Amino acid sequence: MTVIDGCDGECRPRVGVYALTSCYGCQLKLATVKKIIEIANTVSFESFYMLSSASKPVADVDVAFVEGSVSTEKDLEELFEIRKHSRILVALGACSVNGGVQSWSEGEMNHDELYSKVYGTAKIRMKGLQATPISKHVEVDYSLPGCPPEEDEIMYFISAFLFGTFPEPKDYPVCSECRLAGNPCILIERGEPCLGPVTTAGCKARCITFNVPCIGCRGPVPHDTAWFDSLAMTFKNKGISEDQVRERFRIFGSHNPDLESMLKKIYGGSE
Amino acid sequence: MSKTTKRKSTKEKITRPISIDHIARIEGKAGIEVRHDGKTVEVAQVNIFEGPRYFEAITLGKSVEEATAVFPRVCSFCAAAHKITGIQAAERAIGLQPTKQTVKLRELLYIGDYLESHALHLFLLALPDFLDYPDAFSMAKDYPEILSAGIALKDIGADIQTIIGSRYIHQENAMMGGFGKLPTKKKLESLEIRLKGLRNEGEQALETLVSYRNWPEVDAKRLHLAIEPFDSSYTMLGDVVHASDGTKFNVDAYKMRISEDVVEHSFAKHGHFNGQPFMTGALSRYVLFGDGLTDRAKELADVYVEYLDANNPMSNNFAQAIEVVYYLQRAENIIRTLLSSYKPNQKRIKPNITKAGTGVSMTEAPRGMLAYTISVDKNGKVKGADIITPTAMFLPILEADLKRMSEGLLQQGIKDAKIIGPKLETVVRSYDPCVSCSVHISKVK
Repeated sequence: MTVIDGCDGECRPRVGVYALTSCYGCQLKLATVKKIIEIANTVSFESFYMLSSASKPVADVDVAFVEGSVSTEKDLEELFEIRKHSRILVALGACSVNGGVQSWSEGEMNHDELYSKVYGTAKIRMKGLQATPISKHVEVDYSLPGCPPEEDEIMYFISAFLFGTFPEPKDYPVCSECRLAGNPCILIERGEPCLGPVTTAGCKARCITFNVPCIGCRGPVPHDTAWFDSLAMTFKNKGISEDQVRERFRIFGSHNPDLESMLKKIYGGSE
Repeated sequence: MSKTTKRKSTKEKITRPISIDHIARIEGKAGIEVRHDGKTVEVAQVNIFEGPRYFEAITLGKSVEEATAVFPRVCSFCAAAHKITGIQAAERAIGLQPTKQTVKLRELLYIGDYLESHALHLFLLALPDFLDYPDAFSMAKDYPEILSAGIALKDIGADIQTIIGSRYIHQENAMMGGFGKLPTKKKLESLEIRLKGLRNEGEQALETLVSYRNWPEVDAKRLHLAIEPFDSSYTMLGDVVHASDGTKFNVDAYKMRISEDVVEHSFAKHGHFNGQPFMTGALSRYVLFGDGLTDRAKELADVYVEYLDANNPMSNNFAQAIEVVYYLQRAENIIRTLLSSYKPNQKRIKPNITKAGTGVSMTEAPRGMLAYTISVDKNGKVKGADIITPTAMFLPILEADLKRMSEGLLQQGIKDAKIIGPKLETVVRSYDPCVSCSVHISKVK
């Protein structure tokens, strides 16, 4: 898989940057990393509509970054085409990885209800869909979570990818980085509804460092590695209700199949 | 990307479509469709393919504090604009009055958004058109000094937002009532020093743009709307909207004056003022309140006054370039004022919601007016939300300009879609549209 091996020093890895339905923040993050000019000189951007009119709708690429959720039929068609033409497909950011904030009402309102609340009975030619993460539809080779993703993770991925490898995905919660950052725990000390114990690390506890409780933008931490006993139990002890945590958890995690079982571990429940 | 096909209509009249599937170098996913018979243009549409995100529906019944963290996800280029407008509306709904220091810091955060957004638009999205490159990367090979000025401006805008807001995309540190943490005096001082050092970079966009004249094909009288700056200077915060026909209204009444309709070629709605299309954005701000500009920005605006033509949408690029010069100076002034009586412990008034209410806020986002209405119940849950974004407001007049542009070219005998297409894209870019913003939310009346 080493990209530069196959090139033998001649060619440049081909990269596509695509957007489905999103705020364009992940592409903006990618486009504004400090070394973007160096990256642009190293790889060949075959498609990057936000920045270049020399973009192809779907190009044969070594790596495709896909931002956004699948929210229209057109998104879905494009995603299938992108997958077909990409060796490695990377889900870039919260919408792509977890369905994004537009999935907050997942399971509460179906697409028709959402549509009629916003557009009434008026008709639009294109067909919208309930927002879903891209992994529901295609195989995803790597994920860069976050709303938006962090610069160091983007750079680490690109650097590792050039040598045919991937950075190890993080499977520990924000709390571990928060401890390293030396922050006082705002959940214990102030009873703030901070999702640090159950959210995937990688942000270096950015918000908590600003005294702002985590809203879980990097999505639920995988493999049952949340800090249940030490910190997540604090939710209950501080009188933060299960519904309140569930609602907050669902902003960025409503598509996660482990959400309810994680809540059950914290709050107990009638099995 | 452009293609022409011929087809016969039932009336034996030949209509030729020009279609651009995906406009490059804008924020969001949109295309252009023009149908003409060789002389006159029947239809000129901006097709918006960006999917709907239903912000108004998904936040119903949710905690208003969490909803105000979610709303800015409407848009990354103007996340701070959405954040500040949303929290102002929410604060008004619950009767919370932020401190003067909080308001000043928010304005500084907002200026960070302007500098970043204008720098990205002017240098990365718009200038490659005029210098004839497909993108800024290839432009950089021949004009490294132009791009490095743009990047320096983008960086200062991003850093202002990171220092005040925690990051430059989706600033969690700005909350209802104030901030989780305030920037240290030292950080503000270092921003002030950097701002002083960017005077030359600040003028780079204008200096480059003045070699290119506005295209006469899109000249037309038009209505401008902008918010009157709260302190009679020139800024994005205020409570009264002025129109260039002399009327004005309080922002609370925006739903009566600005209507939104659903059109079938777009997930973005179309805005009208008293039934007419109108322009909003840097040019409109300059046209209505340019007298409030000061110092070097004022001087430059006076020197290049003929480029700032109220009747030509391409002047919007020039108006943004003037605003970059202005806001570098205003940011410096605000930091000086803040530091003269800085209260590092005056962080936040924690919201205490006891009764239901509705709040309205409008501000000038980098690309035009942004309106929020938020209703909250006594438990602090969102009962209703209405958002109108600048792009939704200017889409009708933008379509009218695309019609003018293509008709103007056809009348000069230019019929090749490969020539017309890119010119239409340039006209679209001069508005600096934010397509993901436009695909939103608001309620159908």
